[in-house]
Amino acid sequence: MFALIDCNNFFVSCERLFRPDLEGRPVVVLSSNDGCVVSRSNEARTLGIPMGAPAFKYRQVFKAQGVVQFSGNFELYGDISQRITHLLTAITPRTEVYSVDESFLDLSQLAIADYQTWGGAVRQRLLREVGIPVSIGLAGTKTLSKLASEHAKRDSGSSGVIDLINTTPATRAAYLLNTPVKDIWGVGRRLGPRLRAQGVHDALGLSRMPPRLAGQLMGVHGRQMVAELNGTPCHRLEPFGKVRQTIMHGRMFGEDTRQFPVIEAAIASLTARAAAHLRADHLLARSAAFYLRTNRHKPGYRLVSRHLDFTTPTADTGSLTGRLVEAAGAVFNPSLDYHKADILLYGLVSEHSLQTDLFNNLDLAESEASQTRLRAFDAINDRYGRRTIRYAAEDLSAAWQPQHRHRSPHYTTAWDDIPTARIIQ
Amino acid sequence: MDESLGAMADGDGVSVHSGFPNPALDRRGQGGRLALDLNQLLVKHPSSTYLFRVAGHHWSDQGIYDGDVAVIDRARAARPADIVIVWRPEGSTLCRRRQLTAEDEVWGVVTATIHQYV
Repeated sequence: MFALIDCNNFFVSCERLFRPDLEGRPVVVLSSNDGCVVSRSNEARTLGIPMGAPAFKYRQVFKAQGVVQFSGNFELYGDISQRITHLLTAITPRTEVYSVDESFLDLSQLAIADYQTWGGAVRQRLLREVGIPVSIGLAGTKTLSKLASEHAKRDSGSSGVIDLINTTPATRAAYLLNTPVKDIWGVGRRLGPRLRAQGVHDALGLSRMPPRLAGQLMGVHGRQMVAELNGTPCHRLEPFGKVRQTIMHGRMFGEDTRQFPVIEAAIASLTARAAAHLRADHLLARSAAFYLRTNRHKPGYRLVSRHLDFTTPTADTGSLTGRLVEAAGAVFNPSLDYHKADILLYGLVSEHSLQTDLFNNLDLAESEASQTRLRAFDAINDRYGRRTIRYAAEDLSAAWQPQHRHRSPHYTTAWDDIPTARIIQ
Repeated sequence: MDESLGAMADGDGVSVHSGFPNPALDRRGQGGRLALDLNQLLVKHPSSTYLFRVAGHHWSDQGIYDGDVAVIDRARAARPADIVIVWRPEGSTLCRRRQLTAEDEVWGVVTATIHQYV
């Protein structure tokens, strides 16, 4: 048995925890650099503000409708997310943190008399103790628990918990019928149209697809989806520390730029962060890429990218930055207004697997010296702040400073920002 | 070195302690530190504890001073004599639980205040 715990409008709920006066008012949280809407309250949704809406296009709407906007306060959201994980892990160690606002729990080791009551109690604890409202889906498979949680979130009559374990087949079928294929866990943008072309429009239709046809259409993944919708678990809890496949970091420029030094600084800074993540996970990258784009919402949109392979996998900030900046210089066009830079590291391998790879003509001595140096680099930055030591190319130019005009205080992560409690006579 | 001592001990039939075992090695889960941790004293429930800065001088006679740090636990049920945080239109305020009005909702219970002299 599984539970999916899904935080409602998570970033907005974190902001409202310290601003209860915003209950009932339309609230949006914007991505880094105030680019687009990444979380919205139900009131903002009712106003027709879509997820991902570019903030500059909706300025008028925000103003006219009194929408309260926040710049992303990701320190706050990260801390609240950890509190929720902490509380859930105390309920059962069989917890999978699926994303910043969703966790799967494997309930098979717990003695639960009534799932609906249990779900209600967990929901109440998170609301009271951490201060965040959640929706909970309970079912025999991960796919069904995700489906149930989506309904728990949307149906105002559901009290935030939907149990598909102790329920009649007819009720379960009704939930499946009311779930469009695009909302099923594992149906991406590509599979959705393919299923609709087969006349499958909802989860009930998909659950009735013969496994063989599902296999032909969508491979093993499709067969598993059909089985999971019918209550046969195929997916278990993913253990902590699953090996990453890629690391991606991106940022929009404070304002669009034609200056190569600004782009160089951005690439260096993003690469430094990505490489630090690699080293923290004891990984090396075989390949790296950068993406430079102009503003998608302005005419003449351009995206350039280059992919680079390293003969020796590396986590060295210096060599990664050097190669990426050089390649960016080769494609840089001074007549374009660059809006955003992204860095991707992929082809990740464990640094341990590399050391036993006899066929790799790797200069081990050099590689070890580089790793020792970088570990010292990371240790100093861990201790004194992320940017204490950095490569010169990372030098901050004014345009590269991210904008966060509407950021709330770091209520729980900075001493200078903790909220004030007034004593009134 | 431990091994050579062990071998000697066996050979001579004498018990030799190779040193006082370091208890810190058994406490790696807690950061490997032996020293007292103030969190242990002040934070019973880490996931539900929030810190606020006290503003106002009216309660100095009760030992709560302007600038103190208040430790708030949202997991505790408020008893009448407890100091609690409530949200009023003017912002978050400290009150005695028994003095609340009907529309006040308790945000959390103050379990400690920290006063720093220097």
